[in-house]
Amino acid sequence: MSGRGQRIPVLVLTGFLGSGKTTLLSGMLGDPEMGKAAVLVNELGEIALDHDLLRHVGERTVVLPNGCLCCTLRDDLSESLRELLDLSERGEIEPLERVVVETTGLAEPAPILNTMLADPIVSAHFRPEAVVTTVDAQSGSHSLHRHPESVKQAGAADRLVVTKADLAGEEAVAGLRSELRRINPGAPVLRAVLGDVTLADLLPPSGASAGAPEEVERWLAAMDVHAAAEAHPHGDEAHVHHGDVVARAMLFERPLDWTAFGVWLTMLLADRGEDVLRVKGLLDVGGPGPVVVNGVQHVVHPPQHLAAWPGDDHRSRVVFVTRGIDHDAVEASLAAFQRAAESL
Amino acid sequence: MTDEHWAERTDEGAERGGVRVEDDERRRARRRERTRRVRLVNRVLAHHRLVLQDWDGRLYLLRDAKGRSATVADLGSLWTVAAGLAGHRLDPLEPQLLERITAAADGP
Repeated sequence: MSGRGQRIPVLVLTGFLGSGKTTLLSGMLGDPEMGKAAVLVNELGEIALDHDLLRHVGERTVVLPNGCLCCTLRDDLSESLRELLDLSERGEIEPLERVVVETTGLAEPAPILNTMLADPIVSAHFRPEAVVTTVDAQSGSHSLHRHPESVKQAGAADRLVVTKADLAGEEAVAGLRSELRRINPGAPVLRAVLGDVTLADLLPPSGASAGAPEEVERWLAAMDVHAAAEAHPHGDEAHVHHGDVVARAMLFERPLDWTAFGVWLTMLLADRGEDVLRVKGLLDVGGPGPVVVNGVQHVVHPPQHLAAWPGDDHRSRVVFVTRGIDHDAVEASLAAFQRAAESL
Repeated sequence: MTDEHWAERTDEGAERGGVRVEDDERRRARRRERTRRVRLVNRVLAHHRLVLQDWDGRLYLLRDAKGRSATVADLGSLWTVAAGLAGHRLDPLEPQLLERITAAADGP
């Protein structure tokens, strides 16, 4: 896929204040799978660690008995990741197989992904693997309605984890799940009680990145593009709402002009990136396989131009999750740019 | 390894075994797409009285009607710089813009 060799996958763990990120992480640390991972946390003191069993590597870094490395996250994520590289290159720590970054409760995921994709040194050594977002079953719904950051975190997720499910009751959990599905139709929703989730539960299957074509296919299936296409008079869209957040799938019978799509999407994201929570899809651009598109707000993962389609449906299908944007206008705009490109 | 902006990559089949293949055919295809990209962007920018020029296949030069100019590396920064020169936001959903670019496509 990319010419960048084996880059270290980075799992981003996000979630609103008090949504159970630290409990989830504490539960995961003992997992043998975490033995070759480094965890960047907001505050080492908040993680449940047995201090007698720790080895200290510098003032901000400790090694757990299973080999897992815990570091306090600096203000600057790229600096923290570079520091890990230095430690690894100097042989002070084992080669890393994965990094888990715990964000602050108010952090937006897009700038974190942007750091990994735009910083030349960081992007040469690390790649975003997946965004996991915790949502508190008791107060998650309130956060989604009151705090825009919370909606962005849920929208950016490749996996959603509903925490404190045991305290909230089945009805509240079911309500939250359907609310999350409207904001992020494609992400699987797991539930956790006292952090009883393993690393494997949070990763995309077979170690693929969240932008892997199979993952995108699953996303598109979750939107049920085809069922909606059959039910719809125009046969080309499906959509779900959450307040002013709307997820809509578009289906195109004819190949798209990739150059025009790039011009259009960069312009849309420059102007409305804050409100384009997610773009994800497979595009037929006339090549042997599709182009995989995966974006979170202004940040677009480098699209993969695949040699073959992952499934039988070779039509372009793309999901847009937006806030306060008229989807008909988005569709009309994309169509106009495609039309304009025909005569170039 | 490349720092090419994602929207300017048109390289299906161009990477084999993690190595980018840059042959004459691919170079020609890249130039062709770059020319098409500049033409399409110019249809959009004309609506805002701006013009984009390709600068040696490596940079773009953006000019406004008052003769002010700015260089941009790629599509990633183009629109923000263009909005700065225009003095207003550039909205790709604006109906008048869409009418204009499709009218140009339909020809006289």
